[in-house]
Amino acid sequence: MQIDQFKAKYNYSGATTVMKQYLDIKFANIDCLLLFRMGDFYELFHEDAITASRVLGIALTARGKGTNDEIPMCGVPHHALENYLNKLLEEGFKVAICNQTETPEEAKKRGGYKAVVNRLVTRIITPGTIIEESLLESREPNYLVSISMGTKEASISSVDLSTSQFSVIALPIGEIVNEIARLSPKEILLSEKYKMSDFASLIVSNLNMRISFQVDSFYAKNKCEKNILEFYKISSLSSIGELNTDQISAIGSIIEYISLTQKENSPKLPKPKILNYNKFMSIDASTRRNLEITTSQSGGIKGSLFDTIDSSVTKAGSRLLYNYLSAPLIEIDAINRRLSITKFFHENIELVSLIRSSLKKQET
Amino acid sequence: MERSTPKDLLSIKYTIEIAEQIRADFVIKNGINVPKNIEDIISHLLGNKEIYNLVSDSIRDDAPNSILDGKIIKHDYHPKISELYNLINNGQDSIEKLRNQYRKETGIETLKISNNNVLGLFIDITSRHAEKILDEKFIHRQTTANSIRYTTMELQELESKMVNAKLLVVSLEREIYSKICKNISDNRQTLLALANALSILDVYCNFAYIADEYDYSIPELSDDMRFEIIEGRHPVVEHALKKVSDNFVHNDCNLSMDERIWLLTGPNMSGKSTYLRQNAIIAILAHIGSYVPAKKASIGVIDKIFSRIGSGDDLNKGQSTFMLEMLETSSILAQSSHKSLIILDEVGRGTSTYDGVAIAWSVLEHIHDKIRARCLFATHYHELTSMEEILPALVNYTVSIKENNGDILFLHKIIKGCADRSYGVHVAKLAGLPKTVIKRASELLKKLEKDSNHSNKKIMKSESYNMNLFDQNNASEINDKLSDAISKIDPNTLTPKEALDALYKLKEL
Repeated sequence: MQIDQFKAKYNYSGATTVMKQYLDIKFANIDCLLLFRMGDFYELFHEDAITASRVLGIALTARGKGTNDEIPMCGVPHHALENYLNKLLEEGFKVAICNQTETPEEAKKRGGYKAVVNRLVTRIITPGTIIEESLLESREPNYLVSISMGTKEASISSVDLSTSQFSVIALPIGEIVNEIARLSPKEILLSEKYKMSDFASLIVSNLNMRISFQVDSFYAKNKCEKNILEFYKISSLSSIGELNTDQISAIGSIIEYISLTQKENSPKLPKPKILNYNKFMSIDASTRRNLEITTSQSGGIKGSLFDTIDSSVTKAGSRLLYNYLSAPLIEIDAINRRLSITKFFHENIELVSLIRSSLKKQET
Repeated sequence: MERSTPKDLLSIKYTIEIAEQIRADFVIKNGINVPKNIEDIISHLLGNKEIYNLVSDSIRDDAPNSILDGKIIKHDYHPKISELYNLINNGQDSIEKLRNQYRKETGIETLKISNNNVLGLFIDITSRHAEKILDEKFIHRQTTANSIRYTTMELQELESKMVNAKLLVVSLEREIYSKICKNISDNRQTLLALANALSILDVYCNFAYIADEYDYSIPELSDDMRFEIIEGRHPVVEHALKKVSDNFVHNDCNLSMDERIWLLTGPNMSGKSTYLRQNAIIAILAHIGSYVPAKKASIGVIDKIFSRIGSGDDLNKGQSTFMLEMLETSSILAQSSHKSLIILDEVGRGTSTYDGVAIAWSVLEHIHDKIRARCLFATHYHELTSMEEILPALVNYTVSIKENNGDILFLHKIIKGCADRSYGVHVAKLAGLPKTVIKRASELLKKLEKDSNHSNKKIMKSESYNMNLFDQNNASEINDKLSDAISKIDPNTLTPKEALDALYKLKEL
């Protein structure tokens, strides 16, 4: 929608100052549900209000009730935001959080008694960019991935913002679906150019996942390279490692998406680890399902192999174990190195008890 | 970091403390020297003392989750903070001091200093004392029925100081807080390394803990093609059984180079599927660095694992079950190498017996001759057991069964040999089908088995299960019927619907 149409539709010229502010912000975040902080509430208006009241099961009311300019409205108390966010994210919505960036006193000082407090979208929350512990599935990683396509190979970058894990892997195009099955990401980015591709439809139909398609320029090499250099404040990509074009696009696009959603508070991520596809055991999606490695036939973690062997004390421990279990090693030295560590702890089981009880304290 | 709340900072402090505690635990239990690979992990546990001190000195232990309302920074961390809080807390004292001073000056013992939303702080006297207010510093604000209200410059100053102090302290605390966050953010590398080290410790302690708790043992990995599991168990099933205090029956598996394909026959419900999966799971656990649910496990490194179950019920994805099965089988044959482990459970079941046996047979040949991978193959096609004589590295195994007056007992034990029958009727009985149905089925089965020996064509064609594929008489008899029927069809005259009907009719023959 063009800005003029938008303004006409929502009667911009006749709106109050605060509603003008709302509409300006809403237009800039038109693809999101906008949660607009007003005092102790986050309010939604117009279509957003209708959608949210349905999804959240909260009462739909109206601003300026009884007048000709009734605006549909609903709201949630700010302290209960996380509960409601959860539901919206589950339904696959992107949610823009618009906060007050000054107190009413400050606003009055600045602009007189009629001043409207400044508001700013401080963050856009999507299923793959959650960091709130209360919104995360506690034992599994929360990956956001971006798939970048080359001619023979593809690259997949993956970020878990909750644990600051960032990696990129190059792999044959035929292995994309298996790798996605391994990561089981909460959000997948892909150029809309591949909307009709085989692997995209397999991801949707067989793995039952949603893909958020991006314009193809999102993956343009030059732009992606620039994103990376700026994000890490480095002068050359070689300080990350040897990267091919797809890898650059995969990393650059995911950084762009994080910046777009996290705004000023973009997290500082470590440089991406370049993973070698040939270092992990290949287990395809059917085999994972069949062996019930991380999900049982009934769909949840419960009853899976992961569930049985996970007695980790911390959530971070559980998530790392989940990663280990999803990607068994195939280099004998690397496997033996891990086994020797396990052996050390197995032989020092009293130490294990001590460590576990210390870690338990941290979790509470 | 910028988004972290005061509570997050406190938990960072606590984490650093715990890391130091764990480092101390190591010293207590193992002395100063630990193996190099352990040292690599725990070396990250120390080295965050500065951050610990910073948070500990600055952030109040009762700090709230939000940075909007102050009460974050410890008073003695910054002189201005304590000054402002003094002002806020001591405001009441100052008011009392002023009141006493004014009482003395005016001689009005009932003079009060009160507060309301309209006037803020004000001096309140009853009307009859009005003439006692002589000093010009008392500025008249309001007269009500029985009282007169004044203010003074001093009082106004005090009031605005108190209001400002509240605003000031909040913004000052915010400022100090964000500086602390910045400082911590600059040290995030070592903090991340610390968090990472704790997760790694948690994972390995978990491995050690479950090994100890569930009686797992250390696997031995090699670069050859071994796959030797002694007394292996399925961890998930075993875990579930433990809750009902039933013992899981352990089983061996030894896929050596000259016995690299195990062909497993046996009735349904006998535990075949569990057995197949447990071997794949043991392999996976070994490859992630965990101990495994077996008495002993020696495994040559596996590059890929494939596990397929035929005609799964959850595969309602539009393609026919059989088509899907064939697609998956074809991808296994294309992707696997001699270092792979292939597990096929009843593949080929989604089609007729002839097709099924033929497909299973040629798939096995391909795995045996071309791929040369280690493979477990479960089937109820007894016809396949004769492959043992043809393929040198293929061996027959079955699940042992105890028969007692027509009742059967599954012992869940994998033994060499092949099942002589499929025990379908027995399974039906266990499943609680009506007695009359079971009785009738037993009779029919006897008849079928007898008739099949006598080559009775009529019953053969409707009974597919225990039919002998290589009974040439039967096969040719049916082929005759088929070719007969096919020759009567003229594709040029059929509508699509008729063609489909014809296909169904052929299928029924």
